Amino acid sequence: MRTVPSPKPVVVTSDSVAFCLQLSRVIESYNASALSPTVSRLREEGTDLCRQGLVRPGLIRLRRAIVSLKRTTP
Amino acid sequence: MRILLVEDDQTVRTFIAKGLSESGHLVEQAENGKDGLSLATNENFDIIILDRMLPGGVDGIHILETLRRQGNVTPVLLLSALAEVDEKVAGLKAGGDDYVTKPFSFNELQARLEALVRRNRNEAQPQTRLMVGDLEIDLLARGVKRAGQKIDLQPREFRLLEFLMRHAGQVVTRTMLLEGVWDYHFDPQTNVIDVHVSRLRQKIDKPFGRPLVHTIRNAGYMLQE
Amino acid sequence: MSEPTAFAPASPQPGFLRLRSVSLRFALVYGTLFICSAVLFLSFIWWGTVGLLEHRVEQAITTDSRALFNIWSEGGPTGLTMIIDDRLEQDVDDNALYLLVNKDNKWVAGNLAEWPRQIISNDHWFTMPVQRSYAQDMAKVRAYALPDGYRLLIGRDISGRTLLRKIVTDTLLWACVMVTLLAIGGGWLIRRLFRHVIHSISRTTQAITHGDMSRRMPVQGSDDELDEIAITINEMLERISRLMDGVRQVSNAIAHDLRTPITRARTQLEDAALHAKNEDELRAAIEQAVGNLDNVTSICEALLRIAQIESGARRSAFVLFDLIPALQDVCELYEAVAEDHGLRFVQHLPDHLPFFGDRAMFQQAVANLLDNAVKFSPPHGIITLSAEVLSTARRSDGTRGKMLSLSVADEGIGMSEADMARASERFFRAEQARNTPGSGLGLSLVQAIVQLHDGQLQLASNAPGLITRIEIPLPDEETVPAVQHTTTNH
Ligand SMILES: Nc1ncnc2c1ncn2[C@@H]1O[C@H](COP(=O)(O)OP(=O)(O)OP(=O)(O)O)[C@@H](O)[C@H]1O
Ligand SMILES: [Mg+2]
Repeated sequence: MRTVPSPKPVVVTSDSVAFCLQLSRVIESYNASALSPTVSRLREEGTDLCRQGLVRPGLIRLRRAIVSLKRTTP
Repeated sequence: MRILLVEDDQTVRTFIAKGLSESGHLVEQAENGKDGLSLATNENFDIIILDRMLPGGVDGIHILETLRRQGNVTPVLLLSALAEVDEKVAGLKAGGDDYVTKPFSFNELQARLEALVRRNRNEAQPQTRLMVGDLEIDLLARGVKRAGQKIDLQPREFRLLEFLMRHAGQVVTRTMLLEGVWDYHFDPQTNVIDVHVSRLRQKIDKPFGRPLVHTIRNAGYMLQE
Repeated sequence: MSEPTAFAPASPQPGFLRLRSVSLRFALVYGTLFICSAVLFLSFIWWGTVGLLEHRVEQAITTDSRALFNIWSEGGPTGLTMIIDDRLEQDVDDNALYLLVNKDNKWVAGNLAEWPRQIISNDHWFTMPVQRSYAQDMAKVRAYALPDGYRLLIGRDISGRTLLRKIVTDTLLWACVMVTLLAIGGGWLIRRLFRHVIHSISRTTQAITHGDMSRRMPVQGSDDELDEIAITINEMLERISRLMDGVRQVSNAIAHDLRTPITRARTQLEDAALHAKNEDELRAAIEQAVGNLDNVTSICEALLRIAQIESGARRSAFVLFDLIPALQDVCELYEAVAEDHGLRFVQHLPDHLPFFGDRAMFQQAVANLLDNAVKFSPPHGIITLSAEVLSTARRSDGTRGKMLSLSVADEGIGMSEADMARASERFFRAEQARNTPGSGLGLSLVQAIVQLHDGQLQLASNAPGLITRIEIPLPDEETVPAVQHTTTNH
């Protein structure tokens, strides 16, 4: 294991509102009518949080929504 | 008797030698352990009087042990200023036949010497019957008779009489009696021995007129016709 | 603590840090031990938590890489891109980092903006900073080469672990500090305790060395080891001072009481030398003088004997024996004497009485008591010797157990309370006893013998007369299984 003392860190692109929206779109791409209440609630909360600038908690909710979607839809 | 006396203190030595010569013994003197040992090994004595602590490295116990190792069985009487029971035991263990603590009276020493020599002679033939004059005791039946008359004695009185009879004609000191009859090695303060002897006298002397047990002034008792 | 010798003055003055001081050394050793064990223990914890976590991360990345290789071999760059997107979409933990670049180092997939410059070699672990929206985190990454010049970077944000690691390391550090402090404190405390004990011992002993024999160690009453030491030392001092008293008494006695017979002998001899008119008178005087000198000898012998017994050396000669025949022997010796004095002698003895001690000495003690009873009784009295076993008596050391109680009672002149208290002193003789023979050593010897057997000698009034009682703890049954057989049938 090597630690390199580089002062310029690489930006993590998934930490952004753009990614939030992307995830939100992914959820939409599933059959919207079939969304379970939990998933849609998670998605709403997620997008709301993202919009308010709280990207991280928003992302977590959206990701959870996707995970549960994947689990329910074959 | 031919006696060897090994003693470093001159006063004591001359005192003993004088007393013994007066009673007709032949006394050889040695004032240190080395001389004592060489005399004891090279000549024959009837008895050896040995001081326990001697100057010059060769002490009494050493001489005694050497003699016994050489097979010399001459009776040895140890003299010592060490009075403790343990010291006595040590002296007797080393092969001593008797032990007299200093200071001692000449009578005591002489009585013990004679008892030793006598014991040495008697050891050969075990006796079952002792007689002095008209007094007679049977050691097996534990019976006592005087002038043909039976006398009842307590067990201890019997042992006292037996001791006196075995040393008949010889002075027996109170200490000797205490050790020989009662097996006590301490000073009983009051003259308990006198009381016991006088009781014995009541039984074996009083009814018969002529006394056999005699008191020897400053020394002890003697059973004699 | 690094240069303790610098503080160590060669003088015996108690410096603050003397390495020669046992207590400091003790404290140091104690502290070192404490720290060593703490460090060892904490290292285990460190490896157990942080080490394990790092290992997990590495494992996860390695497994992930294998899966992605498979995807690549099946679906090429497009398949891999889809899977990476999928992974990122479902990354609930929010710590996955991926980057796929082509041979021109252009971004193809993943959530890192560009190929980090410091990652120059493949198949090595790197820890690098990443810029997240909220903060700068640390990430553990590994680069893999793919065919056609593609390169794949897989990583995990380990800021959570870093935090944990920080907590653990901090805890360890603090623990080390605390433990060190504790060790030093504990060591210091122990040192103080140690010094306290040692000092109070040395203070007391110093006082004693300077002649104050009355000083004793303070006993806290807490029943701990320190008290134990204190009590033991006090007992030792007690004994020493008793022995010293004995020595003092003996020297006083030699100065005073031996003078009497010596003076008498001397006077008799001088008188005879000056005034004897004939040989008989001279002989009589000399004989008397010899008697007086014999008296001196027996006093000396008795004193020596007492001293020897008090020294406790004879305890090695103790044996188990039946006390009754031994007592009967002594009684037999004195019965005649008692009768001779017109006294009645009564015995109350059990059949057997197993006893642990010195037979001859015990007989002597009883003989002395009987001797006194006879000596200090006018005719027509009764002397009673009784012995019994008290089964659950309280012993002097506080325990309960079997005790021998032996008493000699007479109906003689008796003693006053004040005299009883002094009776066992050497050479003590009561006023009424002046015209009886004796030297006042009889009871001293009894006392010494009884003490050698861990017992007690008590005097009490018999109205009229005196009761002397000896109480001695007996061995417990289980410790003497064979006593009856060894002593009764011989
Ligand atoms: N049974 C007793 N009755 C009355 N007084 C006694 C009795 N026993 C001891 N005493 C007193 O205690 C004193 C000390 O006794 P101890 O036995 O020590 O000495 P002693 O008998 O005078 O001399 P020793 O025993 O040395 O010959 C005696 O002098 C006497 O005054
Ligand atoms: Mg007495």
